[in-house]
Amino acid sequence: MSDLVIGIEVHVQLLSATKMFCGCKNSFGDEPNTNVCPVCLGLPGALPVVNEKATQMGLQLALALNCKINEVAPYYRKNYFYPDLPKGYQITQYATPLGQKGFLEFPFGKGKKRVDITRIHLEEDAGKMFHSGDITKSSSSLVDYNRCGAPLAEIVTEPCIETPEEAQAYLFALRNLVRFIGISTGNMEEGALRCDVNVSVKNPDGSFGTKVEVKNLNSFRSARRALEFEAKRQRDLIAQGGQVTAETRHFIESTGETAGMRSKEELNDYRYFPEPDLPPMVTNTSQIEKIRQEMPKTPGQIAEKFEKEYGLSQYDAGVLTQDKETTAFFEECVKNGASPKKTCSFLTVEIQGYFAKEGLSLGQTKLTPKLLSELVKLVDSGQITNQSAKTIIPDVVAGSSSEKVAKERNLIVIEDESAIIELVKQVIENNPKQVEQYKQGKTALSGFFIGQVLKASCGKAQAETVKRLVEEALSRL
Amino acid sequence: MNISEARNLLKSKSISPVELVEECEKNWKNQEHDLNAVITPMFERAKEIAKKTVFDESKPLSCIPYAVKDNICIKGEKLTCGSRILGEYRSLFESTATWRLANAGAIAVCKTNMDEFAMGSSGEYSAFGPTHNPLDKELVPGGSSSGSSAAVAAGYSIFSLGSDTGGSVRQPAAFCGLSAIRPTYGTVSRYGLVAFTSSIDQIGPMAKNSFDSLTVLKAMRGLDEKDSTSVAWSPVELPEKPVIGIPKELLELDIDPEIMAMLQECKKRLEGIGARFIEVSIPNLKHSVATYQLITPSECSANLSRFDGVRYGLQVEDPELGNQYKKTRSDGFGAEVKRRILIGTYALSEGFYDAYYLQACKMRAKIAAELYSALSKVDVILTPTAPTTAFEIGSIQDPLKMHACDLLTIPQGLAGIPAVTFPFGKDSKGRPIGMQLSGPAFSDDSLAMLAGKIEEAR
Ligand SMILES: [Zn+2]
Repeated sequence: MSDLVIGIEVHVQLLSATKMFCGCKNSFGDEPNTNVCPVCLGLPGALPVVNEKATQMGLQLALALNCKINEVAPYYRKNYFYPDLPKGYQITQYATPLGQKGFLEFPFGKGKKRVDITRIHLEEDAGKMFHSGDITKSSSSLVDYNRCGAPLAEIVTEPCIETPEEAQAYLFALRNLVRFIGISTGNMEEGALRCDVNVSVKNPDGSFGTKVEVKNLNSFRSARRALEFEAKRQRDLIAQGGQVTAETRHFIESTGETAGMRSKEELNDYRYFPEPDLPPMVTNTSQIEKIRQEMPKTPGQIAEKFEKEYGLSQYDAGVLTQDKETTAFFEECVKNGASPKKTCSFLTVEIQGYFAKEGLSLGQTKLTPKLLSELVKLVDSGQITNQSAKTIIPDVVAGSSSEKVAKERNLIVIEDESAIIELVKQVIENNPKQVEQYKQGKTALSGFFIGQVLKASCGKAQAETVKRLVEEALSRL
Repeated sequence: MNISEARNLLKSKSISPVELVEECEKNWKNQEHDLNAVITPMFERAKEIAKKTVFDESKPLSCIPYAVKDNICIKGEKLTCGSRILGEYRSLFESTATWRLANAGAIAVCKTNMDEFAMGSSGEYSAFGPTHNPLDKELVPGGSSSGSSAAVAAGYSIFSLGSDTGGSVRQPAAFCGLSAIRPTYGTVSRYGLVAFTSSIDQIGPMAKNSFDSLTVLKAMRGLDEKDSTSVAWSPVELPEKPVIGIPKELLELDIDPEIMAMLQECKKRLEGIGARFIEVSIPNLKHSVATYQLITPSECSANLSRFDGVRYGLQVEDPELGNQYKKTRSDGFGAEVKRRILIGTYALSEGFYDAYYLQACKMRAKIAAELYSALSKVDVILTPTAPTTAFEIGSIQDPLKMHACDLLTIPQGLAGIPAVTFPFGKDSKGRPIGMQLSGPAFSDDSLAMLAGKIEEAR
């Protein structure tokens, strides 16, 4: 049992074409203050109008996270002053969020981990501030409102995560999920996925300790490093007889440490109250059913299908659904007629191994599902052996037809059994010492003979055939 | 001159569209020095439009000059809300109401003075100085749509737009001897109306008579996709000879006896045209003002947060951001606005929300339920519009007394129902008295027609 208690809040920027409450383009990286209008600039007299597409995406995510959907989810105003917040309040769901009480299950280590989701709600993003130099010394700041009003879904977990590794795996799984169902790019570097973590060390009696919030985590690695640092800091503090202060800390990328923020920033009373400009978000059962049916499959659902339909192991199914490209690649190969198990092992072991060695990745090479399925099918039909297939992977990755390469290199399997029988005979004749030992009862030596025959065939004889013929020959000794 | 008279003159070409605007401009030039009803004159622009326009009988408001309260956006024009904080800000877009009125042919001639951000009942809480009542310059014209009532009464325009939260079109109309309608909540788009209390605010017409008000209302209302609280118009017809209720609780309230006497006269007049009267009860009527004085400050404390000096309007510079906010808002807002922001911020604060804001919401629901219940027994509720007639400028200093001016015009806003005010007699000092008809949601037209009938019977 870990003594750490971790909860994570993630903000996911939804991929709707327009912003949450206005018609402005919802896009990243445009010229500052070009995607703005009276509504998202909070000009006097402007009013918000809910983007139905964004609410649908929120519902998709809530369903993918197995949440209970609240039929009525009112919008609220969260009040605070900051230049990146033009209205002086943020419109957000609050007391009754659109989804509650869900969970996300994902591959972790050799098994699975389940993280409970407390809530998911919709809100609008703020703009972006640019300070010239150090924030404490800079004399002026610039604000870009392009991001202001962009739709966000906030996902809050229960404090049920026990290690920094689990936390990182959860973030990875969540990013994977939003990409699979197509509601966000999930790119942390673009700010499309942002996370804050809460971490505390349990008291000796098992009760929760004082919670510290860490912000400014710009990558999965940062999240993990910040948690590792905090775990150590808090444990050391307690060991020295100190007490952890409830506070918000910032992660500092360059040092890998966290630092406390000025306490002034924490004293916020947001004065939430129901947003009078908007009716509550209302969802009925038939809408939920429709979304559920039209929604792309989640990695978990796909993995389950792989296990059931293709007889893959839970581990393999998990590996195949660790990113959208791999899943699609695999499915395309299977569609082309390659056997799922062989495809899986070639894709996740041989190809990935080769990629790892060469520093490549899927999509960076000329490897296509067509090329891989051709290779797997050659193996499936017994035209080349597994062994031979492995040797031509670099060629296939470089875009060559495996059949052509196999023929050129004379790798096509020896189908004529008499030729193999001939090889068996030769091996037995050339190894009298081992034959003698075998006869004296050292039957385990059959493996030696099989290996010798396979070697003699230059990998062109099928192992099963060789095994059968060797055993027949040995039994006749 | 009312709308139908103006239309007759325009139709017979006795007056040209430009001459009609010039007539209004003349009235403005002659009286504005005394009245201070206008913040931004638009007569030059209006004449340009009128020059290019021929009278079109198919448009209900063709070539009719009108005044616009300065919390309603007209594209390219200054927008002050009667406050210093907006500085030289000009609206970048057009409100749905003025856009629809332009389509109906109406021509905006000025933007009118008002209590700052529509918070006030006398027109005295404007950063641009008080507006005077054209009927007697010593008197207030009512508020917060003070300039809009004065403009019509003084002939600057033939009708005007105000905004009504706690009675801000009805009370000034009553003080200036005009008619006005507070529409059913949601029927007139709030897009382009600077929000004071989003859940109550409605733009309403003010005019010489109720038929005119109704003509204007019909031209500007309707579903608007830019306002999520907007609803489609679906009329409720009241009977030709309605059953009318007078709340018995009026007797408990502090209402001028001369006005209460006039209420009896009005009752007789209505009986004369076939109405039948029964007593109704709105037990929590007396809590309307207190309820309103929590709901509206709470909402406005958030609605006015956007005026922070960062993007537009007044900015009092300070190297420290927090100080810049404080200085800008301290200089930019007047006393009444600050008072309400502070009350609202307090009412929404952690630890006080349940005791104040939530409690007020509960009372609001209760008062609304009592009104709906009364309106299930009667077709119309008759009350005076205000507890007093127009009072002397400077005579009310106590904010609580000022808030009490809205006593009879608050409940309809809390319940989202329509109400019409129409002039009915004068007090012994010759100051006009307004009477008010309230009805169920979507009975706006029936109420206005009924008010119009009484006006005609004069
Ligand atoms: Zn926008």
